[in-house]
Parts: sequence; C-alpha cells; structure tokens
Amino acid sequence: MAVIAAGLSRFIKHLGLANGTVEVVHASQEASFNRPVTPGETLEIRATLKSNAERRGSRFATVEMLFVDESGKEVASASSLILVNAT
Amino acid sequence: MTIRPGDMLDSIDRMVTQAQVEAYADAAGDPNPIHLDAEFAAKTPFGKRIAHGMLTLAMVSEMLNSAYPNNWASGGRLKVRFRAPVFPGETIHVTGEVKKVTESDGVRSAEITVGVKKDNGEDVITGHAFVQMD
Repeated sequence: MAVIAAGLSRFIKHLGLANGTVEVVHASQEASFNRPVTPGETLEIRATLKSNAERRGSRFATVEMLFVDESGKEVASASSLILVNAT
Repeated sequence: MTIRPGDMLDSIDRMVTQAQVEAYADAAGDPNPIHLDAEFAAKTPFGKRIAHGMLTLAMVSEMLNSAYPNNWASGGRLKVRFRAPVFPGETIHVTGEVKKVTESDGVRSAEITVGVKKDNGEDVITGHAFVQMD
C-alpha cells in the first residue's frame, strides 16, 4: 500500500496539484498486489491520467498506475479517483 | 486454511494523531497542506486538518496482512470508497468480514467486506477485498 501512496503523491505533484492552491480529496481507491516489494528494490511507476472531467463544479480525475520491477514484471497496480476543488 | 462466510478478521482500533499524519506525509512524500497546515485546512469545507485517506487505508491493509500473511501481499486486491475524513484525535475501528468464498480452477478466493468507522458509527471507508487462499 505504501508504494501506491508514494506513487499517487508523486503524480499529484507532477500535475501541479500539491502546492496548496487547490483542494485535493481522495474519493476512491482500487489496488492489486502481485507480490511483496522488498526494501532496496527500484520500481518504475507508469502513471496515466485516465479521465479528467468537471461535474457540478468539481474536477474528477482518475489516475491509473502500474508498478514495474527491474525485470519488467508488474508487482502492483492501482486506480485512484481524486476530486480537485478550487480553494 | 479454513475460511467461511461470516468469519470476522481481527479488528484494529486506533487513534489517529497529528504526529502520525506528519510522519506519513514525510514517508509518502505527500505535503498537501490540507493534512499539515491548520490555517489552510480551516479554509476548506472540512474546517480543520484531515488524515491522509491512504494512511487510514494502510490500516485496512495491515488487518488483511495479519489475517492472510501469505496471500494478501501476493494476489490481494481491494476496491474502496473514502466516505468521510478522519480528523487527528479521532479513534477509528477497522473491520473485515468474509462475505463469500468461491472456487475456480482449483483456486479458492475469498471476498471480504472491509470497513473503517468512527466511534459515532460514521463510515470512513467502505469496500471489499479479495484474497486467493491457495
């Protein structure tokens, strides 16, 4: 779960949503784990902004992430729905 | 491993503290001021600082890992909604109940209803987890 949290934080920062100018709320989360990750491993995170829609004044964004190990195998995947509101 | 619908997982009752939130922000690399900055949080609809949803969800994962130490991290899945924020100082109750057990191609899988509630019964997280048993 920690790798998913770290990946999501990085992507939210990458999108420029972590600077306090907007309010970001985590609405739902899906996750699947293929194997445990051990300390010292390097993972590649492939993140995609899957959807980005405005509804009733809020922006809903779906972020999908794949976590891939050094041999190219997928160790985990996740899908997060976040709400972004102007402050 | 015997697993039947209706089995209850060992629950977790824990107070979430601002110190935990700050340590989590550091560990996860999530400095969102809604978790850390009281002045910023006061201007949001929540009115005060809230814990990260993933911090609370990590306790659901902790419960599942304790119940299924070999199976949760290898093949486990979950799907949850965050229903309400947790404010530091609140105590939450993390529970899981086996909803059904299915078998396909010789592999047994369990669907577990997972939830996090506050003392007053308010839902914080609702959803389901899926674990392969063999």
